[in-house]
Amino acid sequence: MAERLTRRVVLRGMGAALGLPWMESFAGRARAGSEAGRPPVRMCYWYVPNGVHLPTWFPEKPGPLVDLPETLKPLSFARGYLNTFHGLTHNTALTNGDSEGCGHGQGAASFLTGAQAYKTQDAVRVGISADQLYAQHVAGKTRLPSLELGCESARSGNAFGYSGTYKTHISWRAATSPAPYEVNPKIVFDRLFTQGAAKLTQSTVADRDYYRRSIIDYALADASRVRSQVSKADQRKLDQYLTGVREVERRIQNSAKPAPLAGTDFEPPGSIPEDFDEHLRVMCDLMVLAFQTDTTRASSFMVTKEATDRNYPWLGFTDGHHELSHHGNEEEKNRKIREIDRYHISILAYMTERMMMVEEADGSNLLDNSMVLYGSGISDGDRHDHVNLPVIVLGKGGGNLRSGQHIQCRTETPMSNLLLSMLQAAGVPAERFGDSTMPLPGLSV
Amino acid sequence: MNLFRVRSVLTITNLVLCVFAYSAANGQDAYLNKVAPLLQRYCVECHNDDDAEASIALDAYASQAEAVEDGETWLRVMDALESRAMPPADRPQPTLVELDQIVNWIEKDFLAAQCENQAGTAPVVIRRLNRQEYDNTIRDLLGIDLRLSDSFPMDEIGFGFDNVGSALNISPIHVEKYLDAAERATEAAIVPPDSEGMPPIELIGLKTYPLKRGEPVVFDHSLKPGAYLVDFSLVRVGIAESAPTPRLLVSFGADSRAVEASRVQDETVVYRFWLGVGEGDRQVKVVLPEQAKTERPDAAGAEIADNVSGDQRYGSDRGLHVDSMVVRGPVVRDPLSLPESHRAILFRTPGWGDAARNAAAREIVTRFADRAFRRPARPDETDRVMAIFALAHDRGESFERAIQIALTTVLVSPQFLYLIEPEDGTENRRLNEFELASRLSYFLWSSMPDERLFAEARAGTLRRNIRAQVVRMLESEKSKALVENFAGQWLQLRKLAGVAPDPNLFPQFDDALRDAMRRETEQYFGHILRTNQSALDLIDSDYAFLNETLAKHYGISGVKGAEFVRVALGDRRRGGVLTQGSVLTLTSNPNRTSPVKRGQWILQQILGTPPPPPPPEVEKLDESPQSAQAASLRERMESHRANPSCASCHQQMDPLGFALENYDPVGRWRTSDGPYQVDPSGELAGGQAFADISELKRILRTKASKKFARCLIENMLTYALGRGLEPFDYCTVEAIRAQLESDEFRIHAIVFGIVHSDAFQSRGVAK
Repeated sequence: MAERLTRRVVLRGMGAALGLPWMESFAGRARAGSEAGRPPVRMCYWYVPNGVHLPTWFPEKPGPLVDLPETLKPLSFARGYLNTFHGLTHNTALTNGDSEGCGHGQGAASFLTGAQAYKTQDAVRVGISADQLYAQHVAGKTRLPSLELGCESARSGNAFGYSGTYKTHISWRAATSPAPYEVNPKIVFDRLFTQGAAKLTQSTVADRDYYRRSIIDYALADASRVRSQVSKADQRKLDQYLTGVREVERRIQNSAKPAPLAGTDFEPPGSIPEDFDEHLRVMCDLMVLAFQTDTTRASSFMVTKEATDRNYPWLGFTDGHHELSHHGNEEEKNRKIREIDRYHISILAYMTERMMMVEEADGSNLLDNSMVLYGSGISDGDRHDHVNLPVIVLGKGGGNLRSGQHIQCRTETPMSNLLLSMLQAAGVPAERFGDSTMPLPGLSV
Repeated sequence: MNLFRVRSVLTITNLVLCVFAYSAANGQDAYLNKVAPLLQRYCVECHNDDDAEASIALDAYASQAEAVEDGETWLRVMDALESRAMPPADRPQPTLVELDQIVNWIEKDFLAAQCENQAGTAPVVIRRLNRQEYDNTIRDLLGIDLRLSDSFPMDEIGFGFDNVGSALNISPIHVEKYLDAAERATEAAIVPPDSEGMPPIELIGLKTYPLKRGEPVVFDHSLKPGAYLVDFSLVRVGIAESAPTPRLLVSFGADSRAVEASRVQDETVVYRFWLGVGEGDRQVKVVLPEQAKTERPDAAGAEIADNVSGDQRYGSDRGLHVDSMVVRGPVVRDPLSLPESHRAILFRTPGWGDAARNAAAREIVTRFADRAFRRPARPDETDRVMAIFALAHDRGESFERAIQIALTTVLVSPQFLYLIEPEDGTENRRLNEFELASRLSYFLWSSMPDERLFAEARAGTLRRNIRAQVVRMLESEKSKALVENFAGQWLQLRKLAGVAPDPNLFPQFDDALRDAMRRETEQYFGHILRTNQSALDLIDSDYAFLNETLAKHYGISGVKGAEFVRVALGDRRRGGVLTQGSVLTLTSNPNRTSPVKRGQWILQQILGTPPPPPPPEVEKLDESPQSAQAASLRERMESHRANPSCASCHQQMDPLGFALENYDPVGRWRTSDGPYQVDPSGELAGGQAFADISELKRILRTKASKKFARCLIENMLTYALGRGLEPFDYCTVEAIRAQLESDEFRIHAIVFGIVHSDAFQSRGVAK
């Protein structure tokens, strides 16, 4: 433990940039545009796998949040920004008659989509996810439509007839188009702030983009020609390529410059840190920075992949997360699960704190204008169920969200109702989302 | 149409069918005679139309014809019966004879019917190159190993493998990375001339020359031979900034080129381009060519504007003036100083002039596109790439840089990024020779075909000579891709990268050991593959490939150094993949072994019968070290098995897993686990008893060879085709298995069986 701390201190010292300093020197003003004089709404969605220890997750009674339950304690300082819920369910994550599905993939797949994962080993299908719907809603207003991050390799095999893709993707651009997450902070940073031009030797960015436009025209024409020669199933795959090329084309035409980071001492992060804790925090930093500079307004963060058996040795034990989640009600296993839960929440608290420190153009802070949803698609890891999902929301959504309360929902309220309410609060003119039945009462101002 | 009539017709058809079924029942209907009564006795209570557990209903078929039409059910039934997963332990069990009767019917009647019904093959969905394939293809195409895919998203996995077309998706982030990678690849492979840091040489001085249409401006230079980067500006006097810029012809002597302006700054039009100086060249020549009638008028006819800048040198002399010409050079490069990739791709060096450059570029682009598209590029395809070359070249880029940009285009083309097999009708078709070459090379090498394969394809002889080519390809170093990507996924070796044994309990587990474990299994599989050993050696053998690190770990003495060497084994504690450190570690928890995971691994990867997930809300079998003690363990297993829904699977998994208890979580041999003595003995479902892992391996090698062979063939066929298998593919599997058995299980029989199969050699059409 001591050794770990030292390492951590060293890392933070080296990347001092990643912590406070840039916030202080740069925090000054978020760059965010001022539509009707108000900072834009940012949406952020976190996912943790394997469920949580439920008894220390839910507040005891509905109403204003006073004492937070044990697991959520690290968020006490942001109590006023927090909403907790009891009674939310993803019916679409249930096996719904399929006796073989194990619930991990379905839980993650339905989490932000409110849709049922189609049982397949290859041709995946769910539904558009809330973050991507919001990204579409604000498309063109920021340099990147959305950011998808994770901290664990997305490699995942199929299980019990369901594609492993369901366990590693919470963001879905469309029902059949999963949006993969990036785990390397350096690549994220370059994408956000350098236009990938860090090492250009042959030409300037403008020159490169000039040729890129021609290359893209060629690619589009080429794909259209190929498309006419192949089967229907092949065409669907090529359409993914065409969509991708068009999006890159838009980005180049848009040629919005990356936000200036000059005048800050933010050092570009290196590759994937060996220290997992550091990895998580750098990803938080990058999300905050992306929001702060209005480089994107939608982000998803899959802390680890669903059903992961990763371990957390710095918490004092080396059992795998998934193994522990099958706790069989053993106190020892429950205790360890609780510690992992609380650790994850402390990382959320880290980002929360940073968001509160970023001052926006109108004097509000970044969290005032954001909605950060955090949760798991599985409730109890031992039972693999999806009722009473552990889900919380931080932020005031630009003043559109009431906060600081524990909301007791009617039993088996679709979680899609919450996703819908958040989207509506963010200005998306949706009347339904996933399997929603109505907006969640008590949330909007 | 009249609804009533439709219904009556249907009724009559049903009647006819019933009569037919009835007569068949009295006659030769094997299903009704031999199978249905057994199903009725042992299975239908749980698996019936009203209550179809596991979605299987076995009372739904009125005849053999109906039964064999159901492509989904029977292979599952066979798996369940053969592995004794069904019927559940607390139900009446069929005798061995009865069991064989059902299994025989499935193997003979059902599979035969599938083969007859399905002459065709399932279509392979267009496959994008996965990460390994992308890297290898770039390596073989450009001649440099760049590993660009490290920044690509993880590949999706379908049916256990990451090369299944229907599972692989492309998101915008992929396209972004492909574009980036293509630029990096061509920048690494091709080195354009660079005059950076060379002092500028001004060729004109303070003088200026008016440039008039058809009247060349000529002045002297004294440049040494070589390539020069030229910055040249024209001043436009009295011409609006918005007027189109003229295209010029510029020459230093032998070399000349047409150039377009690169930018306009106030009244100055800037041209930047590369131009060569030959031996004895002494003169600069700038020409504003006569304008073709159809061209949009440029400077000459453009609107007149005030000479706002008031450059006094030109007074009111409206028109174009040659203002300054600065060159940097000479860049003279010894061809041998250029990377081999550069020389190989730019295999033609153009002479002077645009026409020569164009001709050389076309040859270079054509050869490159042929290889990148893995088939001869059509002329119109080459034309489109050449248009990109021309675009860059017109802007003054060096020949090499223009080639670079053109080839970047090729690398983002879907024809490069996907393996495309066009569908030209509604019929299954044989693959053409180039498609076949690609299937072969991506199967055995995870890369593009090499020149020998292309040569066979061009000559139309590949299909005929396929066997010789396969032998050659397996002997090639590149076939290690088959080991790493096929065996690495089939045996789940890739998981090893992510395991994290408790460092306090296993301080000796470091990256060197992790690496050695993976390499042991790869060496082992590679040896069997390259030297055509029995596939059954994968289960059990008397040899291993070890290096010093691993031999020490295993407690085997006499192996020195980091290289792997073949070691003859005195006993059967090692030998075969089941008892290799890799497999034993990747199926363990960080701090203890997991007999369930190990048992499950054997069932799924070796025997091909993955157990279903545990039913929800069932108490898990406690695997903690305390309960691993023989007595308590057996008690626990008994109590666990008392629940029939657990028993059917656990009585398969557990004995397999417990037999491996002689190996700790990082694969070391042990005889006790903490204070408890390990008891590796057990009994397989079906009654076969064994004392320890050596006996178990022997039993598996002899008694389970059929299941193992089927499992291996299914996996390799899936990998080779890049698609999931359909029920009728089992005819192919069974045909290959027959071959394999008649060839004493030598593994090449599988590879040949696959490449000779219709599934591999033709393209199916979705029905």
